[in-house]
Amino acid sequence: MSLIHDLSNNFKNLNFIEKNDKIFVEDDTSVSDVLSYLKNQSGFDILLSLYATDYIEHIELNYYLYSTQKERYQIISICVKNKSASIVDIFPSAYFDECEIYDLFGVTFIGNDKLKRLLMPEDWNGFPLKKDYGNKSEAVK
Amino acid sequence: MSKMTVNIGPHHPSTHGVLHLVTDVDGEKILNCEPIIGYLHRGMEKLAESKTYLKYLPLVDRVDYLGGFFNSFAYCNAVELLGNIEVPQRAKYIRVLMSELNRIASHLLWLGTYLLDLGAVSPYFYTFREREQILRFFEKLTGQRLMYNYFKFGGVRKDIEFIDDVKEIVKILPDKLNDYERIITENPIFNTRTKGLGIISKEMALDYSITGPNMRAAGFALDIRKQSEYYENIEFNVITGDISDCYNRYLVRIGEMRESIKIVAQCIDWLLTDVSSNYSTKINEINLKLPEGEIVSKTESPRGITLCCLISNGGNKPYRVKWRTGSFYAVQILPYLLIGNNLPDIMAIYGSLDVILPEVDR
Repeated sequence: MSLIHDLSNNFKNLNFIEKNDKIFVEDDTSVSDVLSYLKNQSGFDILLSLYATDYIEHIELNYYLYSTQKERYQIISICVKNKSASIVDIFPSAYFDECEIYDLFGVTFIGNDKLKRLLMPEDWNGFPLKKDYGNKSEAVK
Repeated sequence: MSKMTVNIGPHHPSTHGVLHLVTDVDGEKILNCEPIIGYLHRGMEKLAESKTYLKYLPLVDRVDYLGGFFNSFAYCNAVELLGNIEVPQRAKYIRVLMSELNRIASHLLWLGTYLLDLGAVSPYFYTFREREQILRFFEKLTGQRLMYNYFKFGGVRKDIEFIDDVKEIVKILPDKLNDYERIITENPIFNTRTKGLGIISKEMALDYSITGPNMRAAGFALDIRKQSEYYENIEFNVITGDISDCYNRYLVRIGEMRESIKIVAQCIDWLLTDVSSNYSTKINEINLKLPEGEIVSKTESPRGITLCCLISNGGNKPYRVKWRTGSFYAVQILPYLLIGNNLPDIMAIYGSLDVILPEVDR
């Protein structure tokens, strides 16, 4: 059974869409339940990466999972505005990733109470990887 | 109990980069530790969005300056997958050969500096002697010692030359590795400093996304090379340990160098027998436009899994590039390994993780 059917059967109230090998979870607040299920029941035990992309009208968060037993990769994606649920409890490795996304995209992760600027200085204005940021820093302008 | 805060870094000779560790100590005991990164942030991901695909290519070597070939490979591979650019078999073998030599050079540098951090000065000179031979070969072929810019979309920039140099490296290295092992592996000081120190358990490795030699030392045979089409006809073993402490991480890296030598030897054989094929596909690099889409290319760098995520919107510049590097997650695990240990063990544990700071900050 493919993964998307498995997910649809287990989360009857959620909508899943498969696009470009990625599985989109439509309701972004329940992503932690989905990831917890994938980790504990489907064997996706490593979160290799968590990365964001700014599509102007929304920010897409991609959870890049890997299963060591099945040797399989899977991307779970959600679209958010500027808030999302933290998954540090499920995958502790996401802490730095969430800090980085908060730093560069301005997405706040609810439940991650140690969120901080990771790469940019703490007093930096703006979120450099957002498309409306422009190409020059405030200091250069 | 008296708590004192010690700032280790940002400039510290043993971090080999700019890492700031805010450490709470009671006497020699470490109570808490917080790594602060970002001092080497160059905005690699932001820079990509304002450069054409070709203009970004020389920059990617600088993501990890000791494993330049792995980063160019990840980026070139992503562009090729997205643009459906064919890579000739000869180019694939050249890429594997260069990558594996690069892995040996990177591990040799790690070995020398790690023992230097532990107080043993002489292995540093020995490992750099052999590393120099590899870098001389890189310099002859690509013109650069660290930032090669040798891979291009659809192949490599020029055909491989100076194969005799590589043959010489392959010939002498196993003996040299035996020499290192003779002075290091059984060394009582090295053993007491590293055995049972900084243990990464299996669960911890999975939870904290630790990959590469650090993870394989814990018993996972996760090596992306085994899944890659580039290594299809190449025989090599994945080196694993039973418990990931500083000592086993050292053993795994030594074993990996031996396996890399085997891979290099197989590549030379292939390259010398099949001389007819082309080393690169001719494409228009300058005005390269990729179709809309998203791709993640994977490679096994000396420090773990390197992912290059490339998103294109159909234009001549990447819409977004994301780098996932092994060191980023190795830094994150530091507090959990350090707490409860003594202050001098910081560099013994930190060094054994083989963290490269430019790769952390990008």
